[in-house]
Amino acid sequence: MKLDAKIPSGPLAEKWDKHKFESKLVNPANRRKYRVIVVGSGLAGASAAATLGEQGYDVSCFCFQDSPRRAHSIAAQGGINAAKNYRNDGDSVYRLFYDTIKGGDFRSREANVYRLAQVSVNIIDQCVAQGVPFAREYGGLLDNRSFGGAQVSRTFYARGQTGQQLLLGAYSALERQIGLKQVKMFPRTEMLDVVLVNGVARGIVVRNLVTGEISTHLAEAVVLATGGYGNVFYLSTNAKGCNVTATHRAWRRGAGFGNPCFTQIHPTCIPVSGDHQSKLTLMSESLRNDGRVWAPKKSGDKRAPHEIPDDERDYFLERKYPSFGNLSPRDISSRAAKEVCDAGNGVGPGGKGVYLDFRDSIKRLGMQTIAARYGNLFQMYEKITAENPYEVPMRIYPAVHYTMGGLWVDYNLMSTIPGLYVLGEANFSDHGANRLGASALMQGLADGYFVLPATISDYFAKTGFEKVDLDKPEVKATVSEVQDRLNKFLNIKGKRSADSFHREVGLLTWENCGMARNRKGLEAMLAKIPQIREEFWSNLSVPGSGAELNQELEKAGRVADFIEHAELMALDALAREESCGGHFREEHQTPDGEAQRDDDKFLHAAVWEYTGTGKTPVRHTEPLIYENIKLATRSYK
Amino acid sequence: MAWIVRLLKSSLGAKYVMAITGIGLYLFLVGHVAGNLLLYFGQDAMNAYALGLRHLPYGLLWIARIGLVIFFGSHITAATYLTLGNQAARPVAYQSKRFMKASFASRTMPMSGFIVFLFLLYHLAHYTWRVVAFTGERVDSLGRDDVYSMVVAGFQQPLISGLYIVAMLVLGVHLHHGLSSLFQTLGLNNARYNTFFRRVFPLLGWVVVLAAASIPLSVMSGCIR
Amino acid sequence: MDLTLHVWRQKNGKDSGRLATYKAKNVSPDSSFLEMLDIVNQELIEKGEDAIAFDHDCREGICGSCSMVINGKAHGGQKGTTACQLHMRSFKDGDEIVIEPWRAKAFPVVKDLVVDRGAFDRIIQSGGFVSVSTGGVPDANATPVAKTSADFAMDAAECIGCGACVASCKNASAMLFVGAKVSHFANLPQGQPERMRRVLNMVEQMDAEGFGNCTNQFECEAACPKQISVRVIAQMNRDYLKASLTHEEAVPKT
Repeated sequence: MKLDAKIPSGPLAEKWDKHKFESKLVNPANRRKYRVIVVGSGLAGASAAATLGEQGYDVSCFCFQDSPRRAHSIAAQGGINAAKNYRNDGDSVYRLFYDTIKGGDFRSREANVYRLAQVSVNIIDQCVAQGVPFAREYGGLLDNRSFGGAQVSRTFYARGQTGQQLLLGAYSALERQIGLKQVKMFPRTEMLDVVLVNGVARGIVVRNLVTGEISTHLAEAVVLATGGYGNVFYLSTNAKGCNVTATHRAWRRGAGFGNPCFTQIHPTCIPVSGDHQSKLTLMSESLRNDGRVWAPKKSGDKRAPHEIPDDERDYFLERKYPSFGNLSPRDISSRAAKEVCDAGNGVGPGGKGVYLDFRDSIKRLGMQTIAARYGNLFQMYEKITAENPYEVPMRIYPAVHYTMGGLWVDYNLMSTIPGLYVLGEANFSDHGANRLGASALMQGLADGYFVLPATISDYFAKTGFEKVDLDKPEVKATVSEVQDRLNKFLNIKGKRSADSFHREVGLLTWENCGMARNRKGLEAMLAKIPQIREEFWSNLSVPGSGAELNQELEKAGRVADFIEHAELMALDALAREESCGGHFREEHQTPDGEAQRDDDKFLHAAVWEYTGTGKTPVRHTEPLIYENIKLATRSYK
Repeated sequence: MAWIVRLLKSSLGAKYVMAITGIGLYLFLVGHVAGNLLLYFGQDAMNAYALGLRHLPYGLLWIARIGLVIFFGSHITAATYLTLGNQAARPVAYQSKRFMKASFASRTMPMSGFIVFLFLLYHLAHYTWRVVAFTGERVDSLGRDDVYSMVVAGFQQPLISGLYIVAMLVLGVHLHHGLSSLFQTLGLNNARYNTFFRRVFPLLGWVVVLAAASIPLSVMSGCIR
Repeated sequence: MDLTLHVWRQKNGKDSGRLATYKAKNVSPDSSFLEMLDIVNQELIEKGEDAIAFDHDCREGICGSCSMVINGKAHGGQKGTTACQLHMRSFKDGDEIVIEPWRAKAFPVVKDLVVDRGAFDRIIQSGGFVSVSTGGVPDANATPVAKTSADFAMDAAECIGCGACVASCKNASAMLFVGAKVSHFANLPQGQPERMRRVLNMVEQMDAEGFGNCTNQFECEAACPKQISVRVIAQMNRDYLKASLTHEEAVPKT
């Protein structure tokens, strides 16, 4: 597998402009001859489909939900970063770039991240022009807040629903193009495979989830904007439908998968309440601006929180990280909470939780101020737990939230398969080993609105496309593989539901490849997964048929891919013999328990190549070259 | 004129018609009831008023009558158009529907409207066309049509009085929703004034309706003889 | 706790459908309503029977997928709550619960509790956007927006497009949904150039989809999980009247 990142030469700040100028263009009148398939309609997919439609390409967009507006980008709460420096507090493109590289623990590409920081500025302009109702000040200008441990206020937000408002902006742009017949939309349609002709991506095979009909759509380029694979863990803050199928299927067709072990655990989620739990709910990180995180000093302390006096409370984030305190980055805060709970000092059911306490800030700022800042979050918490956070401290526990790993892409966002582009959370590119708060929305929109639309023309202009129709043997073979696999699920007629397998593999992954990993656990996990897979393929129950709306059949396909993907994650976690960002190997820590990177051996992206069922995938590397930033130990003490 | 057709055929257009004709009909009702309250001022006042109405200059009486027919006609046509559309919008009914906020008045508008329409026909047949329950022509001492005595005679029959009182209550329910709803339909919804729109204006309907209902009650109780 | 469910089962759009009865046993009061349905489905699957189909995704009240009428009320009728946020602690042991899909001509049933809400997308296509293409827009702070206007716009923009307004309305009217989008843009300077044309086109599409009319009962406002106010409908009424009487595009082309 050849990994050419195609990073333009020249000074960092000029790379993107130079690259755009050097890219070949397609004449506006010729653009409609190029068909583009966009899979996924979240921030990245909707913005890409809309923008390519505006440019005049013949675009088809697919989503499994009943409407493109329901993609999981909608659930992002906190905000979106942009290096606007509206607050005059020392922000700049370079600072956002530096913060993102450092936040990612020096495991991302300089050129990509710099471009992201540059483009962040245009995103806000674009969204405002679309009518996104960002929060404003009385003077009529946009409000900003500091978020996720940043030392500048660069986060734009729309109440606690920034993701929703940005997605609805991209969705409205997409719907406009659908109305203009520039984009054809296929809701309730799930991509089940990529069609390759002579090694080039030329289409996808999809299932209409309502009729069960399998069909093939051909194009000159395929864009995957299908999100992350956090649902491997079964319990995560992802939506129930989020899945790895599109990227996993592309991986099996030859696309390299980058850094699958880089997953992000979010520190402030509502803890698990019982076996019935189907998903976890995130409480915005902004709560840590005014809430103090603590656990009882005495292990197994069963007293109610208000009965525990201050000197018997361990404000462990403030103790361990005095300069960042409760605002320490996500990976660090999560791990600290886990340590406390593992030591037996956790609170709530099963001891899997720590307190996030607003007592002091209510005393300092008054109930009204706290209600104005966090009212909707407090309400949401109370709805789920039936506890009132104004009176009782919230209980929080880390949960899987985002995956930095994804399909490997070059500077143009093209994977190792020519013609197959990957956008947003689905690719591996910009966040390294850990993502900063309010950067996911930024990356999704950067990729969709600005990066792909500027790079795709070069591919079209330089490529001579072979004529492909539905009778091509490669196309027919892919369709029959998809069909066979569906029939297989339906014909096992075993006893266990897809969900029960999902739970099993999820728990296994959480325990061995979650917040902390070690060789023994990962090896045990790798030994266990083939057993789960085998039972899955012999004891699965999928009632109903393939020719109707069959949600169990949908789940079966997704769970089968999760099982295989969990294996890939464990392999990658095992091979990366260092700790960095969200990947914490217990064997590699400093004496005081902090992550210890190994820049000599692992200053690279690991890219996995599929080599066949039952065969161990091959690990390739793309070295990361830092020309502008000096590597440093990431310290928040 | 195509734009008018487009407007009237739209769901909102038909609702504007409801609101505007509703206002007109309410104002007519106010005038009509106020006129009839002259019954409390005796036979002379009432009969003079009736005579005056009939001899309005410039054919104003007929203009008013035609206007009323148009207003009633539009109100009823729009209501029928909207109600049929509403029924078609939910072809399969819920098996367990429960209301959360909708008032009794709002839920029964088509029914209360229909009852008021039937009453209107009866009322016209009774006092205008004088073909139902008619007790014979009367003339007062000045040779005028003795409306006063006719009304008193009519309401001395308990069945008719009861019918009028019930009809007025139904009309009250209809106006209760209508007089508040029309503001929303015409786009007037402002936190500052919503108390007026939603609480005060419905009372104006009840004032008029109860004043009208007081007439048969007064006749029955002997206050008007 | 143990519950008896009466769930609408309908194989597909052509089937006439019926209520079927299921027992839900040992339900934790801490589980959500959808998690309770998950448990019932697990048992059905283990028996090889067709699971109850229902739309759901984020399960935190923002995607707008979940859509069921629970005991006669959209999303169960709890203030500001979607079905996925409804928790079983608000029911009692031994309760009987009737679960039906959204019912409207414009939302045909696909299967069981799943309906097709494509009509909402088509309404947005008809005008629920600001016509700007990517790039070439002014700086975000070039146009100040009064905070109160921005807040009103946001109040309206919170709509999650779940369709509870249609489901709860006696007339299956979509005016809260359409009004919310009209009002969102009407309160922002970016929405002004297309304001009149937007309301004309969206109302026309809404009518074409077969939704009912508003009779100002405000049932939608009570059922809306985002508690969107009916003032957005008033805004639409006002704008539509103005557009019909004054705007050039209100005159149909011949």
